[in-house]
Amino acid sequence: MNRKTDIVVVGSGIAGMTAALTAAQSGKKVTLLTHGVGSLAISSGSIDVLGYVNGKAVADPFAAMADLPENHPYRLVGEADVRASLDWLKELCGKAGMAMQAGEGNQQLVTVMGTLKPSWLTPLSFHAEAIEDVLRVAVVSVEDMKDVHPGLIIDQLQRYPALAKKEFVKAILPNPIQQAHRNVTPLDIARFVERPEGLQWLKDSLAPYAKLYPVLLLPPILGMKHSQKIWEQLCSALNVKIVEMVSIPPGVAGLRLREVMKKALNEAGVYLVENTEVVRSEVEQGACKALTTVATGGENRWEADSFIIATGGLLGGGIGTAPGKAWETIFGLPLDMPENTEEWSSPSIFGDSLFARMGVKVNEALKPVDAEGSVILNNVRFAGRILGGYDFATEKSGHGVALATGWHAGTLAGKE
Amino acid sequence: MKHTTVVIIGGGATGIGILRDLSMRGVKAILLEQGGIASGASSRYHGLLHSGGRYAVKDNEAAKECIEENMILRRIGKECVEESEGFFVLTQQDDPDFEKPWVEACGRAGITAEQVDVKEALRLEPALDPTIRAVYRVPDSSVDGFRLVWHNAMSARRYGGEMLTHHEVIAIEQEAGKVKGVRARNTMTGEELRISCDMVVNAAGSWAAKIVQLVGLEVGVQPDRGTLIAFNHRFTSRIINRLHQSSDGDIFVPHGSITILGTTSFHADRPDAHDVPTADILKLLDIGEVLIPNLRSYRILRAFAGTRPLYVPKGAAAGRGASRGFHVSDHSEEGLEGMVSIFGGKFTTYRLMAEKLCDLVCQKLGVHAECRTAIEPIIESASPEMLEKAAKYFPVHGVPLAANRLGEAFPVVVEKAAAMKSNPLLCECEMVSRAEIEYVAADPASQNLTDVRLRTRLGMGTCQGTYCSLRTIGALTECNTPFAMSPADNLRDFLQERWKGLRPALWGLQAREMDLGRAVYAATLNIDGAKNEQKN
Amino acid sequence: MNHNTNLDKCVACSTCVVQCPVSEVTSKFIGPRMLGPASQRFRLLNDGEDNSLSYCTNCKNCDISCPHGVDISNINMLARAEYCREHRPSFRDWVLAHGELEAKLVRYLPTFLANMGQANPITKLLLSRLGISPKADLPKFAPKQFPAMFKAYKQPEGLTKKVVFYPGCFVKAYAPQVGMDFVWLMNKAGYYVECPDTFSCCGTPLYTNGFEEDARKNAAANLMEMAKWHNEGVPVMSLCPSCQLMFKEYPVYFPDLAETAGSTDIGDCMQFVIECIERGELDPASAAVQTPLDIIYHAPCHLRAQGIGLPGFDILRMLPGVNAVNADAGCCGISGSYGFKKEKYDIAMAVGSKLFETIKDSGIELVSTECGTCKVQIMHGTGKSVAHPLSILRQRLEGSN
Repeated sequence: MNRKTDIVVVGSGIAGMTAALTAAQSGKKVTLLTHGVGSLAISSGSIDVLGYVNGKAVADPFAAMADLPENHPYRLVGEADVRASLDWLKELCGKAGMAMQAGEGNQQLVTVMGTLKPSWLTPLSFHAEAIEDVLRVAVVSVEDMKDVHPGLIIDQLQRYPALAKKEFVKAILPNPIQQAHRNVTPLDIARFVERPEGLQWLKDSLAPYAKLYPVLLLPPILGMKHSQKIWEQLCSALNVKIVEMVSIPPGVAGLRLREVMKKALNEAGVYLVENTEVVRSEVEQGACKALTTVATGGENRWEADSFIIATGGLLGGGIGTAPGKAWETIFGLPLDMPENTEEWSSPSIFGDSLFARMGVKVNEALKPVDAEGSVILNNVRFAGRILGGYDFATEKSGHGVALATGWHAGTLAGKE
Repeated sequence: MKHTTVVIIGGGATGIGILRDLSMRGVKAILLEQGGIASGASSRYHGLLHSGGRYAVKDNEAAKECIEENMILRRIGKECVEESEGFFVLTQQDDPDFEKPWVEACGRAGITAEQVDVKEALRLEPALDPTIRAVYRVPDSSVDGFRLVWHNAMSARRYGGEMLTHHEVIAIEQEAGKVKGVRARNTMTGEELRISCDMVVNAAGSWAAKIVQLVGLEVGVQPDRGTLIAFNHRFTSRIINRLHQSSDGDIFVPHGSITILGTTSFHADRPDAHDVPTADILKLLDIGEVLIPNLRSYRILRAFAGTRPLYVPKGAAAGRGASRGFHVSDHSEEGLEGMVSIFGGKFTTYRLMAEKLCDLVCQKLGVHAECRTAIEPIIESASPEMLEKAAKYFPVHGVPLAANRLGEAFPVVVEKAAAMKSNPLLCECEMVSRAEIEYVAADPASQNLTDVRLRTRLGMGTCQGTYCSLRTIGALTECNTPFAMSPADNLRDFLQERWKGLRPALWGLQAREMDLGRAVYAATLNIDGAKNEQKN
Repeated sequence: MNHNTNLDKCVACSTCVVQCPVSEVTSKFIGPRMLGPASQRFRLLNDGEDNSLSYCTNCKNCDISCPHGVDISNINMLARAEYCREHRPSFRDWVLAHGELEAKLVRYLPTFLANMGQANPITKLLLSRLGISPKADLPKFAPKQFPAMFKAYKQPEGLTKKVVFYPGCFVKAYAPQVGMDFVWLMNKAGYYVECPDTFSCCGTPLYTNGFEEDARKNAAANLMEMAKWHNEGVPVMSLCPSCQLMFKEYPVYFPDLAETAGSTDIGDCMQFVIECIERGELDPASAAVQTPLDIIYHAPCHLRAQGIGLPGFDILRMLPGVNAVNADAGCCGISGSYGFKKEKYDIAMAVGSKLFETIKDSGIELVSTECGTCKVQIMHGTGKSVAHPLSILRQRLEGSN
């Protein structure tokens, strides 16, 4: 089968969805090809912009951007577009009833490891500054929730000098859902709390703690679609400040954000094709004509005027690797990596590693360029982790780069 | 100061085997191990319980020992042995003239080597190269090194044996040409400990030379690095050997949920040469492909290396050519009474080695007691009733795994699980439940997450620690397990240890896995940034 | 495809757990990752099977969501087939799996007898005893089944082009009119439609209920018939997403059959209609009826799993006057016969609740979807009328009804 649209976007992580939406909002017909749902569904759902540069914590990510290397995606996109993309998401989420807010500088979110993690734009329920002003904090979990252990969280939080003197208490709520050998994850409870009987359960279970502790730290369990409303209701009914903690996959807040974006895609008329893997590209005279996909059987050809590739990095499948080799998986663009795999990584797991920064080299329009800087494919843009030049994990810049580059690529393609 | 009759140095298969044997003979003994139990070569090898086929031509005596011990271990350690049998496969690249002498040598050693029709062999093992020329069935088995050593340790404890892990021996005290005691340092706390004793047994494997140096002697123990690859799933049901003069990369051992491909042989300059060069992995893959053509499409979980403690008397061959036999040394011949060492050998014959050494120790101590280790099962098997009960608290595949891993402790853990409100799997990849982890962590021998891992297989499956390490450190902190390290440091240490095995094979599917691990621990949980911000 | 190689692709990221509609509503199911790739590593080692194996609906949302290309549902279905080799499924499952045979038998009965008062309390009790939920609305046998209708229908003469129609059980026994609508459309586009008697049930209900051998026989017959037409260069196509998917998955379940047959890929009628439109053989713009019509469309999971987009929805959007919106609210919950089973009924309804709500909230009265059992479930869950996109296309083009 052969289909034609204005723009084909590949990948439905935050970068792909943002690119598809912004392009569609410019009036383009957009087809979004996806192979799996992208890492937003398993992420913590907060937009980290920049937490560390060269291992040093930064207070203001925008001020620190100047210290980033020239080929860093933020440098290519420019501060103004990074800010514009954040505003755009803020508006989108606000309209959907899930307000996202930034703080003065980087906010410190509490994680289920009992660590603090710098982030920028986050749902209101994650804002944790309330802890600073109080002495007594209850750390809440649910029985059998194996990813969230208040004992660990308290032990680790007290290792921060600023929190050492706080009075933390463990609060373990009874497990409200039956279970077999299944996990009880924050997602299970969040889905339960989304229902009226679940909300009532949570309110009743928290009430005794709310009387004694002005701040309650919770796993991300405050519902799904109506998380903000639930948060507001509980805070006001219990007269307490509730803070959700950042947790590991399955990502509750990431899924909330994904649902918001997915709904927007449907409303914007973006044509979503699921479960389809791009296997071939047709390139003529430096331009991509079409991409071919396979699914459970057969092939489909997708023509467009321009393409945005947001297929992710190693995890997402946008980057393929073999001993001593790495490449971009759709066009087969080789990534410049040493032949000896041992040189790819630092002996220390969170050290400065080449592989963590490997990716497609692009210009300011996010079009791929060769070593001399000449554009290789003039109607193709790359967005998100497929880009080289940054290490999302140690910088804490994953969603920030994905959002900014997705927005930049979608907006530029939309204007063409 | 503690007192005992014998101090054993080294908590590998041999040392723990000696501890059990002596304890069964009524000799008081304390074992000192610098790391965790079975953290050296006893867990850093392919896990093959040799039929002896591999040594039949070159060293028929060693082959005989293998087949005898193989049969004994199937009896006494059946929880640790998968009776998977083995194939010796003659490929297009192997010398067909080797076949006949090999079959004859197997016959001489008492190893049943039964020819299997190639078609039938391919039906049984479809992953094998279809162009193979001949196949023989032998009684190879796979054996879980960690588990066997631990079951021996549990049995030794039952007989009164004591063991101290994370205790490094720093001195052997002597008086008038006779050993008086041992000084050791707790590597976790730095505390020193003195134990007075009548005898010292040096069973430190690749570290044995270092121990001998403490008393000013020298010995020819040559560490020899063997690299191995662990794959994510079983792609054969049987152990697959090449039918040729034993060499690198010619054994596949399916093992629980994984397959191990081994091994290389390189001279190592130190006993803890556990780093894996990528070149070793590529070499193993090249060779392995001869037997299993699709090998590169399977996912590598990690690579690891161990050092064989080869005993090389002056002038003998080293490396692959060195004997796999063992040697018991009585240092009184060099003027030091009360110290014996055991060098060389291999896992399959650990029991025999312990028996021979204990015979010498008993003779020197004037103890008259028969060795019973070849007769008495190491642990008591789980009863069918207990397995049925466990099914309520463990997932279906987790029951036999837990029963076999825990051995005698299984009923205790089942009771513990029954008493808990629920018994979630903290490690989903290897199906390790909270009850098991809490039980193992409470053992004084467990000083960190890595010790817990060795005993439970926590973090050794598909995700290599991405999910289970947070859950485990959380659960253990929750129940106040007294680890010396802070939770975050313990976790970092654990992930770093896993990283060591991932990074030389950083490609393909496992590179994706590792990217997820970094996303969880660095991007989401910021355990890297927090290192400098928290007081650990 | 080697499913043990496939399990290697799983990085345990838990995306499938997040997206699994069954995991979302019941804790009786251990979830796609644990049942699929995680357990598979141990199936190669130990015997034993988790109780929750039967809770997987085979809806394929795990496969759709997996970023790493693991076809988790197939691992589960293969494990179920393996399990059922040793443990015979229940009589209830036999009944639900062998709908085709039952449909053949009831052909000779008058409709009122065939549907023997599924609403009457005694029948309900009998069904309940059998293990079929008395709350479920079983589909009703049509007064005249498709093969009879098709044989009685005279196609226009002089059609030079040809397509082969694989009707599938639902069209055959319960919704013959949809099949006839397709025949009408094809005739209009200039195609003569063949519908060989040798085609039998695709095998989905058989395989998922544990009747591997029966499914295999059907697959062999279907593939042989299909190969015949492929050799002549005549396209073979189906209306039913689940039948299409099953054909495409024959290589997984029956690799030997697929190897002999060559391609197992069956075409999609909706996609073919779009191609007809692109070639100018059909023209939606010229529809006889252009009055405004709101439609809410539900994409069947087994269509989404095929990676071909939503051709039925595209057709609706091409029709003048039609305002079609995509419900985009996930699985309807029925999964073939799953939702009829007594112990699964509530799960199926809970899975479908999001879709039902979305449809009700939209205020739109007409629902459209390609899948027959999705239709049954949506009608049961919302009380709205549900039409096949091709039936709507015919109505708009023809101006009938």
